[in-house]
Amino acid sequence: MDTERIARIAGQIGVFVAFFVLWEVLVRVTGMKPVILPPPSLIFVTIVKQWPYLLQHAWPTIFAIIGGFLVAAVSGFVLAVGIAYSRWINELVYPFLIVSQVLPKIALAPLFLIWFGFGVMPKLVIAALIAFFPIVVNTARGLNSVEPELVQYMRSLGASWADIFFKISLPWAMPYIFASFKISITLAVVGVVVGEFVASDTGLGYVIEYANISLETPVMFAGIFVLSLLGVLFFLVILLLEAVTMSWQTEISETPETM
Amino acid sequence: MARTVPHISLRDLTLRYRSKRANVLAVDRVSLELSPRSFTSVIGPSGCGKTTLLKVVTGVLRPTSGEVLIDGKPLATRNLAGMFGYVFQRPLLLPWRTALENVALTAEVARKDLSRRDRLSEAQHWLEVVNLGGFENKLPHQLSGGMQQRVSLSRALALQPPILMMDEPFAALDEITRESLQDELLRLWGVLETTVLFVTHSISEAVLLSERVVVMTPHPGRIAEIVEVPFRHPRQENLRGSPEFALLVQDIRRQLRAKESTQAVA
Repeated sequence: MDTERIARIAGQIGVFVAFFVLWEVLVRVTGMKPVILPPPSLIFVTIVKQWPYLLQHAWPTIFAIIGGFLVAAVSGFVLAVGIAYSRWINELVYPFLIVSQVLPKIALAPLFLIWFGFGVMPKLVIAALIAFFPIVVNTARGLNSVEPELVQYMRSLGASWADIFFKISLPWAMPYIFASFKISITLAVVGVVVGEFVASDTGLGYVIEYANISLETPVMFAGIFVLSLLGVLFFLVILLLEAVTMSWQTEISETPETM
Repeated sequence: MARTVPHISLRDLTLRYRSKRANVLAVDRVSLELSPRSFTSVIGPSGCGKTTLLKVVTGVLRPTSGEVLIDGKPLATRNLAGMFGYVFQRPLLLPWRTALENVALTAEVARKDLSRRDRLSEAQHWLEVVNLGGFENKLPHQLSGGMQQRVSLSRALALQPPILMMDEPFAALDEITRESLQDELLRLWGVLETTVLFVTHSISEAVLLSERVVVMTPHPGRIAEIVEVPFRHPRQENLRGSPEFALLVQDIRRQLRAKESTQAVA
């Protein structure tokens, strides 16, 4: 590793450290009550003390994030293939997709409580719904971005639809798909937490909500910290998957713009 | 390599693009014979319908009227798989595949009966044909533009197509690279016994490579002139410097200019 890179990483970590130190100092100097803003040191202690409780509630959140994301990825991919290959489906569905994107889906959360009751379903549905749109749009765009002359060449070889799709279009769309996965996994986290706020008695969203009501602000922050950590971990998993499936891409380092 | 290369006839081909705003006559009553193993260049300014013509001949576009006959039978009735090899202006390689795997793609699709090992060893052969032995494990972005275009040519040759369609294949390359690829193509054509239809906007390139130069003019895209190139094959590199070569290039240039000015008046 070259020194320039080490310096950069050290600097990036330094910004985080500086942020927390500033926070700690500010809270102590002003004598702010932990109910309003607990210092990072107290949050850390709370995380350690409440670890079993946090972990117990982290699992439902993790499962809901994975579940919601997978539902969005699979259904989004299938619809994207339809949009990319059928003008009919494209014209029929696209306006609806746009409108459903503009709609603030979080506003539907209370409704899902009525429909699906308390528990896993509402948060999974919200997460899937939010994560769905970027995957559809980006995947369809990726599939459509294939060079037409390449398809012409494949046809001249007598290639079947499956040949063209699996050997050309799908790998071609991969950078677009992963770009959308990175957006969608973060959105799925948001969706699950909102679902837990509204309609759940498990999960980190519930922990935050409950600590809020009972004025246990340090626990609330502990929940937020663990949740942020989860979000980062999921993002890293996507990055890892991307690096594994597209090792050729990392060298070129030209990722297509995302929506 | 003994095999049958078909005779291609273009009969009165016309292609009209119709849109709301314009009605463009892209190709206007073009008739041309491409005899087996011939090398024909189509030359003309942009917008003269060269590429469109190529697409009609390969069945990608359907002509408004007229027909393409392959050994006397209409194009539409023929199974075209494996008939045409393509080399485009851009190499259009798959960036996630190595040079070797890019070439092997042809066999992967066109000859599914081959084992993976046979496909790769055949691809290796075609890479060596275009002088790229030793670069088989490079990814496209690790190769220069000229090398990428060689891979693209190799990929087309791997099909052993009776007809090779080349659409300004060297236009994006620098002059030195272009000349070396032209020499390469001359050498290969002598060996491969393939009909070549070569689209270019370089007069000297057309004269150097082909037996016949079809001069086209735009709006509408028409054949203005068919020039026979008298130089004997195999041609050598030094033909470029000969006075006869320069004269013929000059002559075709004058014809293109004349057509242009009469059109400007009209």
